[in-house]
Amino acid sequence: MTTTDSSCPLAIETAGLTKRFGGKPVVKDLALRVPSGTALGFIGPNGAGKTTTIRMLIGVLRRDAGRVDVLGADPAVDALAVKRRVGYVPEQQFIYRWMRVGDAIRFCRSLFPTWNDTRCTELLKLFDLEPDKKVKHLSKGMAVKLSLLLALAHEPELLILDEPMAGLDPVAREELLDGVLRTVCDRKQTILFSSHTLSDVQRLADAVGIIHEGELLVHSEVDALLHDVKRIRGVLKDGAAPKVLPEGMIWQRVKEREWLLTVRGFSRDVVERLAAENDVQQVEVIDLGLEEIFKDFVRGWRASR
Amino acid sequence: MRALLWKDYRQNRKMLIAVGVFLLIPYAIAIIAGTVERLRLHGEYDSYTTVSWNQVFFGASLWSLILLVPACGFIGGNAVAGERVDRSAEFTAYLPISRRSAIISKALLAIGACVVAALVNAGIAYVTTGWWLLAEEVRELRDVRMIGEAVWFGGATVVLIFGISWLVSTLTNSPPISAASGIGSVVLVAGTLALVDYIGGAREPITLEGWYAGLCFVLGILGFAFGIVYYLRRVEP
Repeated sequence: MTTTDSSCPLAIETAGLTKRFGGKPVVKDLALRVPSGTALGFIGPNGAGKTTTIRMLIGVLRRDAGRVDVLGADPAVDALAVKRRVGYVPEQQFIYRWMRVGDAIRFCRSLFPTWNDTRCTELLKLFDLEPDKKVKHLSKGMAVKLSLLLALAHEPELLILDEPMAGLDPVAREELLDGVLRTVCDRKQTILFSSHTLSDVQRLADAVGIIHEGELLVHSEVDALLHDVKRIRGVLKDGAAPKVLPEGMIWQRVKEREWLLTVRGFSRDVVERLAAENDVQQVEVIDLGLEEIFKDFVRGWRASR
Repeated sequence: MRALLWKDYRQNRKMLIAVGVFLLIPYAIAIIAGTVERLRLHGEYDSYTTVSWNQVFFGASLWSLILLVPACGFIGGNAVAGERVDRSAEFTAYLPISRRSAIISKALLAIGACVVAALVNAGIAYVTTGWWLLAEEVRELRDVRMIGEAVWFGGATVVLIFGISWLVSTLTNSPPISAASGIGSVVLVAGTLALVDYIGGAREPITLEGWYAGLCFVLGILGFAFGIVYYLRRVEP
């Protein structure tokens, strides 16, 4: 696992972060470093530990071990200070259903000293939200937009989005993503963005963290990861089997004569050595998208257990 | 705190209205009964045989005070668990609201609602007895000792019901179970004392009454305090 290095001050830093439920670890020894002003895509399968990590970051959940620093404060010690500076959009919206949109805004306004009325009005317009409409009458997409408005209108230094697009139709997802991009691009906000839709993560994130079964498998800048991780497709000679596996191999599959392997730290040397040390007729290098990389990391992790 | 109080009031409004209607039932029955009686007499009012409106309202206020005892269980039971039913407690958990402020707001609203309802009914009882000095029942009730005992036992029962329903409300996400626990605790305490009395032989009634009131106050206050401590330590959901 590599971490992103940056000379920028860190908005989020965790070391050895661990959480257990009923004795079973759901987050294990997690080390995250998110520089201020950057966007980290936090991805992993269901139950990987993303939400648990996020809940520890915002001080809702107590950790069992490790260190957490969010915007220079420990959320376990000063959760209120952290929450005032963090905007959070959860996967499911539980805003009081009896409230009107305007009530929810007024309620949250009273809790955040940094609340910006002008920004709030802009966001109301951008998201096409009617202040008189009751929360219980909002569609899922509109409820997420309201949640995003409440998270953004107090001008947080850190925005945490925990799979907010889950279950939204493509149009609503696009509008929401567009809203996030338009509202945070001109501000030096840090974003932690958890999602299953990796194309969204790729659009929004500077760096990506892949978590599986509570372990951080990779933490790297998106461009560097896309450049660094490649799939190699080799055609083995008749009756041959792979002999020497390249360094940095993440995952492999042999099906008849086809040998597929994904490697990290890719270079031409890797391909040449692979061809020289194994009985392969033909070698081909395939570029991978974030989704394939994610899948290969998870499959490789599962195969290694 | 004002925003929290407003939010808790709105969150509990339906239940408070329901309790209000419940407490108004004796008044409605009394007014209907008083009106029917007057219609039956064709306006021939007889001060010796006809019950006056003061008597009517005095009786209604006492019944309303009696109904307030279980109603406190509904108020206490909904105080915390009400927000967990629709999971809106999770929304506030992510906001910069201290657990201490949140529980103070809930306690103020719940206790305030019970106290206001009690004071309104007690006020009506006081005003109507002040104007209705001749009735024998009132002379009995005006007896300081009797009033004191009624307030003492009624108060003890209210403290037990409210404290236990509040405690269960902090532990669970079910207002009905919380309210039922509070109301059921009275049966449990009274039943246990009766059993102990039965096994251990008859005691002076005054000793049992003292034990009942003492246990009610202790258990109710402990339940309320443990509920607060648990709420402060609990992670939502």
